[in-house]
Amino acid sequence: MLGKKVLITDDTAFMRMTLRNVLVKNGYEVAGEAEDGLQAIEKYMETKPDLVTMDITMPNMDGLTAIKKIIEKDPDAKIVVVSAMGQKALVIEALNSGAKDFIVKPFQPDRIVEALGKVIS
Amino acid sequence: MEEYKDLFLAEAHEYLQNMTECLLELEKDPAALEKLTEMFRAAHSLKGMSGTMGYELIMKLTHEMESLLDKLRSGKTAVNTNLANLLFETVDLVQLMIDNLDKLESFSQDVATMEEKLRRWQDQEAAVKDSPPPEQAIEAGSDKEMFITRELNEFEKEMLKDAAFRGERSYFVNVWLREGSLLKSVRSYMVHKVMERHGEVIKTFPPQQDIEEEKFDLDFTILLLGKQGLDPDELKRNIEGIAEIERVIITPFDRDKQHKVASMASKASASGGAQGGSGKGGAGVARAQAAKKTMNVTLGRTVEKTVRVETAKLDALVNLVGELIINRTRVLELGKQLQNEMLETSHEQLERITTDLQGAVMTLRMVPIKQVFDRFPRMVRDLSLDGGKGVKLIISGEETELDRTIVNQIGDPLVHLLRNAVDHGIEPEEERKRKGKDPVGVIHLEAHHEGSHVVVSVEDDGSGIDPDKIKEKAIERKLISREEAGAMGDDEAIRLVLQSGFSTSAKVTDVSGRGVGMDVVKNSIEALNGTIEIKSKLGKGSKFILRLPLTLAIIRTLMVRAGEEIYAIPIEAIRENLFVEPQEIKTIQQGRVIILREEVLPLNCLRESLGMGTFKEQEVYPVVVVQAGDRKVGFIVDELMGQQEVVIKSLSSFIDGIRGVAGATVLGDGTVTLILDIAGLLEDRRFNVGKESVNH
Amino acid sequence: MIDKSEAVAEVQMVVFRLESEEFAVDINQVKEVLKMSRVTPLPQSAHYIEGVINLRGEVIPVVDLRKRFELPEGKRAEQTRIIIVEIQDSNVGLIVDSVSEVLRLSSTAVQPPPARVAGTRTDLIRGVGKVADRLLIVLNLDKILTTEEVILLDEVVLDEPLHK
Repeated sequence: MLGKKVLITDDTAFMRMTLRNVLVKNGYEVAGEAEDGLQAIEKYMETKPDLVTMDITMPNMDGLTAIKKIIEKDPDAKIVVVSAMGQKALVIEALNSGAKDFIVKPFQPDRIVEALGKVIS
Repeated sequence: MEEYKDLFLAEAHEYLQNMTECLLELEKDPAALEKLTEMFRAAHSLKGMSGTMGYELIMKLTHEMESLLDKLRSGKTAVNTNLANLLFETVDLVQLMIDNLDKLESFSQDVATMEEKLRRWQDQEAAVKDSPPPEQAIEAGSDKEMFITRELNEFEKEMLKDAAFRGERSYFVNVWLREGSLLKSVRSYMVHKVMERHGEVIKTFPPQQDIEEEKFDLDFTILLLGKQGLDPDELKRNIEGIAEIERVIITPFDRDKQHKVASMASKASASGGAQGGSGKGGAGVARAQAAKKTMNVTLGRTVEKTVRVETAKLDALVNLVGELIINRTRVLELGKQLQNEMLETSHEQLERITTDLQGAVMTLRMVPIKQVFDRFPRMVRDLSLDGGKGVKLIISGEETELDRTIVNQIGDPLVHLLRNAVDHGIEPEEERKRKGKDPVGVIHLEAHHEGSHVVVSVEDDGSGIDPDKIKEKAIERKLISREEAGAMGDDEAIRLVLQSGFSTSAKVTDVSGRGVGMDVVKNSIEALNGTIEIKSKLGKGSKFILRLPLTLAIIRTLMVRAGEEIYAIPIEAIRENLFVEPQEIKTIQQGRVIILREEVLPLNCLRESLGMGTFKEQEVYPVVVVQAGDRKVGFIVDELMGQQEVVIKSLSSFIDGIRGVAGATVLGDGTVTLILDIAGLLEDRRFNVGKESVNH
Repeated sequence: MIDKSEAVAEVQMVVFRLESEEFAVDINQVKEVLKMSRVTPLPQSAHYIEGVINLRGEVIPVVDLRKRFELPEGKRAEQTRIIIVEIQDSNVGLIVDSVSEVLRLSSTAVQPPPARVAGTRTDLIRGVGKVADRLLIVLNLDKILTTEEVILLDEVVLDEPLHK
C-alpha cells in the first residue's frame, strides 16, 4: 500500500478528513481532495491517482456521473464508492458503471483499509 | 475458539433437548425409527461440535452414543426402558459436562464407565444381528447443498446432466461475509457478478429473492454451472478479491451423491423407515471440516429469519422505552398547560407511536413457555418410575409466550407443583384400581393467554385435598385456632397449604420433601406480580392455577389520592370503582361493609390501612374494589385520578419487603408514587378482609 | 504543621449539623448534596425512614437523621439538606439540618468513641474527631439503615472528656 495515491471525493469536509486520517495512518498518500464530481474528474486527470473514493450524493455533479466520466476517460480507473446505508440501488448502479467496490458510512477503518487494499491489489 | 463457546452451549442444549424428546417418543413407540435417526444425527452433530471445540471427553462419549444409536437403527432391538434409561443417563452426563466445561477432566472416570456400558449394548446388538457396516453419517454440513439439490426442477437437472456430459463441471460455492457487513445484498450482488463471469448460477440457498432482501445471516450457497475449463481456485480468488468476504468454500457438485443424500434425507424425515442406498460416495467429505461446518450450517439454519441478540441489549432497550414513556407523560402534561392545538395533535401522535413502540419492544422479550415445559416430560417420567406409579403428563399451550424474566422464574414453582402432583396427588396404582380409576394417573400442564395475563395450570386426577385434614394439620401446627378452623370454609382451608410452616406430606420423599413448602411457590409467584389459586375435589383431583402478567416492567395502574399522597393501584387487582354514599355503609363487628349486588363487601379506608391518616366523614366515598386470590375488599380513597401506565422501579434493597408496597414509580412531575401491592395489603391480619363468616 | 511522615493518613470529611452537634462523614461516601425536596412517605417502615425520593430516575430511601438519633424533631428550613451517600452499593439520602463545610482531618485526630459507649453501641459511630476546639462525631454509615440499635447521641457526646 505504501505510497499508493488516493483521491478523496466527498462534499463534506468532515468525511474527507476522516478518510484522510485513515488513509494516511495506513500508508497511503492522499493525491488530493475533491468536493464534487466535477472537481473529481478534474483532479483525477491532473493527479492520476491509483485509487479514487467517490461519494454518491454531491452538489454540481453526483458520484454516479463522475464515475461514468472517469471510466470513459480511463477504463482502468479504480474507484471505490462511498455510500450511506440505504443507497442499495445507487451502489449497484455505481458498480455496474465501473466502480470496483464500495464502503459504507459510518466508516469503520478496518473495513475501509480492507476494501481499498483488495481493490488496489 | 472461545468466541464460539456461547454458540456451542446454545446449540448443544438444543441437541440434548432434542435427544430427550426423541427418547421419550421412542419409549412410547419403539418402532419410531425416524426418532432414532434424529437422535443419531443429534449425537453426530454434538460429537462434531465438541471435537471442534476440543472437548475430547464429550466427543468420546457422544461418539459411543452415536455408534450405539447407529447399530440400533439397523438392528432389531427395540428401545426398552433399560436402554432408554442408559441413554437418558448418557444425555444427563453430557449435559453435566457441558454445564461444567471448565472442569471437564473430572468426568473422565464417569465417561469411561458410561462408554463401557454403551459398548456392552453395542456388542449385544451385534450379537443379535451381524449387521453389515452401517450407512455412513449424513453429513450435516451438506444441509444447504441438500436443500438446493432437492429444489432442482427437471429442467435444471437435465441441464446439469447435459453439462456434465460436455465436461462442464458444477460447484457449490458457499460464501461467508464478514460479521457486521453492511448492505449485504450489494455484496452478494458483487459475488453474483463474479460468478456470472465463471458460469451460470443455477440456484441459491437461501433463494435469490431472500438474498436480495438480506434475509440471510452471513453466508449463502450458490450452485454454479461452470464454464468449460473453469478453475475453482481462480473463482475462489476472484470472489475473495471483493471486500468483506470472509471465506469461500467450493465443493464439486456430484449429481449422484447429492441425489442420493437428498432423497435419503427426505425419506428419513417423511416416512422414517429409510435406510437409504449404499451411499458410498457420501463418506468422502473431509472430516476435519465437517465439525466446523456443522456449527456454521446449523447456525445458518436457525438464524435464517431470526437474529440472536444479547439479552442485556434487550434489557437496555426495554429500560430506555420505559424512560421514554415516563418522559412522554411529562411532555404531555406540559403540552396540556400550554393549550396549543398543534402541539396537542403532535402529542397524540407521539403517544400513539410510543405506545406502539412499547408494545413492540415488550414482544421482543416474549418467549414461548415451551422453554420451561420442555424439561417436564422427562422429570415426570423419572418421578413416576421412582414412585412406582403410572403417570401420564399431557402438555398443552406450550407455544404461549410471556416475558423472558417470568419464564425464567416460573420453572421452580412448576417443578414443585408437578412433584406434588406426582407424589401426593396421584394415588398408587392399587388404590386407583380400588377406586375404579384408570391405574395410570394423568397430569395436565396447560398454559394460555387471558387478557394481559398468562394462566398456567397443573391439574391432576388424583386424590384431591381434604380440607378437614388440612384444618387438623393447621391446628396442630398452631397456624389457626380450633375456633378459626370451625368458621373456615373449604376453599379457605385448602389455601392454608400455601402458608409458611405447612406441609401436607406425611412422608418425606426424595423429591418433594426437601423442606420447600408451598409457601415458597406462592411467594415466588407473587414476586412476579402473579397469583395462585387452588381448586380441589376430594377423590377427584386438584388444580393449581397460576395467573401471571405477560410482562413485568410496565404496568397499568389506577392513580388514587389518599390524604396528600397519590398511590398507584395495579389495574389487574381492581374489579371496579364505586361511589358509595354514607347511608349505604353498615357497621358490623369487623368493621365497615356495604352490600354490593347481594354480596357483603368489607370496606377499608386506604389512608388508615397504610397508617397514613384516619377515616373522615365525607358526602360521598370513592371506593376501589380490589381482589387478590379470592379476597375482595373495597378501599375508600379521597379521589380517583384516572388510569396511567407506569414503569415499576424497584425499591432500594434497604427498604424493600414493605408489606403492601410493590414498588415505586416516577410521575410526570418527577415525584415518586408508590405502587400498592394489593395481595400483600390484604394479607395483613389486622385487616378487614371479610372472613367468610361475614357471609350469611 | 504536621510532619510529612505522619500526614499520610489524611481524610476529607463532609461536615454537617444536627441540633447543636457537628457530624462528619467520609467524602468518598458522599455522592452529592441536595436541597430539601418533597419526600414520598413510605407506609409501615421504620420511623426514621422519611420516605423515598427520585434521584434521576432511581427511587432511593431517605433517612431523617434526627429521628435516627432520637433527637427532637426539627423544622425543615432553608438550610435543610439531603446528603446522598453510597452505602453498600446503594444510594441513600440523609436529611440534616445543614451542611457546613468539607474538612481535612488527619486520621490521628479521630479517636475511638469513649469506652463506655464503645462497649454497647458503636455500630454507627466510628469515632470522635477534634479540630481546633470543635468536636466532630465521625459516623460509620454502613449500619445506619440496618442496625436496630438506638443511638442516644447525648451519651456519646456528654461522656466525651474533651467536650466543653
